[in-house]
Amino acid sequence: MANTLVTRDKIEAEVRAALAATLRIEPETIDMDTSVVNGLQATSIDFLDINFRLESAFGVQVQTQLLLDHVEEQLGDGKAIDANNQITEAAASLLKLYFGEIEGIKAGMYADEIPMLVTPKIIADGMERILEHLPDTCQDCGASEWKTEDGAKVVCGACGAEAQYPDGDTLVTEWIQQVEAEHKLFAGA
Amino acid sequence: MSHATIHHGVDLCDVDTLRDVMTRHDAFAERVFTPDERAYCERYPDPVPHYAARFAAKEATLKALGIGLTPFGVDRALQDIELVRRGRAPALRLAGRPARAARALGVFSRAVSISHEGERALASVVMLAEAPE
Ligand SMILES: [Zn+2]
Repeated sequence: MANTLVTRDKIEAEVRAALAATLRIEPETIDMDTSVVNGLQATSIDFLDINFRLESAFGVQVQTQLLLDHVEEQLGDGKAIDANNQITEAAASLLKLYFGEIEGIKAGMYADEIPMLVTPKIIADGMERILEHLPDTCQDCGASEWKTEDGAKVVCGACGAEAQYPDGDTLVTEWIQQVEAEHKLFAGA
Repeated sequence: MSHATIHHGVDLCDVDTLRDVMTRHDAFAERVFTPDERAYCERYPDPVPHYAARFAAKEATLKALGIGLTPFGVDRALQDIELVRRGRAPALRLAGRPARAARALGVFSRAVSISHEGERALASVVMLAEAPE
């Protein structure tokens, strides 16, 4: 069922808040389309801090593998990233479907350039992909009375349990299977 | 005569920054460090400088391999790079994506060195790979 309790505005506000707290900047100054790495100068420890903040705020578990590593795990080594660490035609098409139309995605780009493309908006998209999978009923008591106090964390109105969303890796895996069934990007590659 | 290419990565980790983040997030140690790394570091009255050296080693390894972490997600590549002890000298154990990247580069030998003093921990990782023909 669609999650109407956690709005896109709230997701973006939490992403801004997490970035601002970690990077010690004002939330209003954050451009949602800037590169988190190049524009906001976030380091690896910062990424981890931001992701743990968002996990706590929403009660979710984010993914632990890059999209293209999921592809290779499912469909085989070399399908997405070649021996020179450059991405294949099919991988570029998949990234465009996943990230939307952002500049810089093309076949032949180096895989380690992909993290540079991640923006606050893309982080919000990733959170939204998890949050839209609010289960129909409470995993503990079976009630369908979700509610939220702060607009971010959803709890059961009957028993008080936190909603249990599918984790980020499960959802990315399912998404790749759906896209591959529909577009056959990697089937011929 | 055979030729090799050298891949080098170096990283500095600020102990206080890591301490802040680890204090804020209970899950951090478990999601980022392996069980053996945690057991090793937790033997010390202040484990954080030891965690910092290991974090620097993970980062230096990623740099040497030319692979980056994802800004969205808690990258399991960090768990796939483990600092182990062989006698007195530290060594690296690789799995998953870092191991695949090392294979793709043709890495046949590697070394890691760590150091910490005051508020900084440092790691340097050198890998030797078959030179591409
Ligand atoms: Zn319930």
